[in-house]
Amino acid sequence: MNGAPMAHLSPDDIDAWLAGALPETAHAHLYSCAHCQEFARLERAVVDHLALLPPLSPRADFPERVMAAVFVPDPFKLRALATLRRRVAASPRAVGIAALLAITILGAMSGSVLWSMTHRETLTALGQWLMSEGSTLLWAGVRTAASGVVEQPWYTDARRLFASPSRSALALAVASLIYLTGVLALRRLLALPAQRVAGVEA
Amino acid sequence: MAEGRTDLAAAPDQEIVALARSGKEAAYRELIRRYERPIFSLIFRMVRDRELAEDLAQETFIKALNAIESYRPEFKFSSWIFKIANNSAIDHLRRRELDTLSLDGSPHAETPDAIEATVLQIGDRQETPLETVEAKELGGAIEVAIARLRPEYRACILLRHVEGRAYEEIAEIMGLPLGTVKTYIHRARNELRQLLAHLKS
Repeated sequence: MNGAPMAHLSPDDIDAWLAGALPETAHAHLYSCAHCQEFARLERAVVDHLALLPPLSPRADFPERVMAAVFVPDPFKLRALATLRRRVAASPRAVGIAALLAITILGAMSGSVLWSMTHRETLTALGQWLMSEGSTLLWAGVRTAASGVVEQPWYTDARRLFASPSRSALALAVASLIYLTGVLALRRLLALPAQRVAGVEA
Repeated sequence: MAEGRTDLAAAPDQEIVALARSGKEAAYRELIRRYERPIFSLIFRMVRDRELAEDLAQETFIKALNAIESYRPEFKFSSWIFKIANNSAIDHLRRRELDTLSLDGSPHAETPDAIEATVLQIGDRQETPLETVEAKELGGAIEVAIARLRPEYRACILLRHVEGRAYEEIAEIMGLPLGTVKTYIHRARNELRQLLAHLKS
């Protein structure tokens, strides 16, 4: 069998030949085999044609269109996050405290959710009690405030003043005027002094 | 400023990605500058429609750049972005059943001019080789021959012989075993050889 001619080149051999890495024995066969030479020549032609294809370009505004939809992270926020991470990871004690804090918060949240899910009736009863107590307290507060106003010495005069529409309108106009004068005076008082820039007259 | 741009242009991909992750906008732009042409070329040769290729290339970059935090630096950035581009093109071809060549122009073209612009200048199977050569220059004939390949063959042959990617990288991009990639490329070359046989003279 030693004298038997070598089989024709395989596609892998052709790849190796195209890459300039064909083994010596295969090379010898290629030199002596017209069939393989023709095959290799055609393969080379296809590869050369493909290599000649020019790169194609998208429209000139392509980068802008892409960047308009890309989220670029804020370097300052990233730095702050990195600093926080570094601080937490600075010592085993800091890691321990952070872990304890995280476990406590998560544990409390989970416990609260679990308790709420298993004690729905208690929660409903508590809600109803709070609503009824709250409305009773609110009503008592309103009544106390109203009786306090009625007992004031100026209450009878005020009622008399608002008994006539013309006097009510006059009182409202005077009150509005006083209010506007107060607002204007306050604005003037709070106005910032004009900033002066060196060498420039205001 | 110009110096900074020169530095970025000379830096390797991994460095640019690290700068992008730290929030440097110029790094994002540099990645677009480096890959817009190869990615657009690959997608255009896959879908054969300029408008669609623009959209898919844009989608590829937006997806890659918005997920840059999830990119693992032990892999090549080029493999990662080519993978996203290839998946995008293949998904589109599957979805729209465009994996066979349309001779009537892009299905997305809405005006007669757009239809004319996207028509692939190819004769039917009965057209003589001489007529084809007369109708198109060599580059056009190759583009047309590539368009006749199966999408998987097309992607593999473009990545290997147009983009110059290694077999291993193509396997990574395509998510296929190395042997399958080699087989696809050999078959694609074989089909191209037959499709381009009329150019021999």
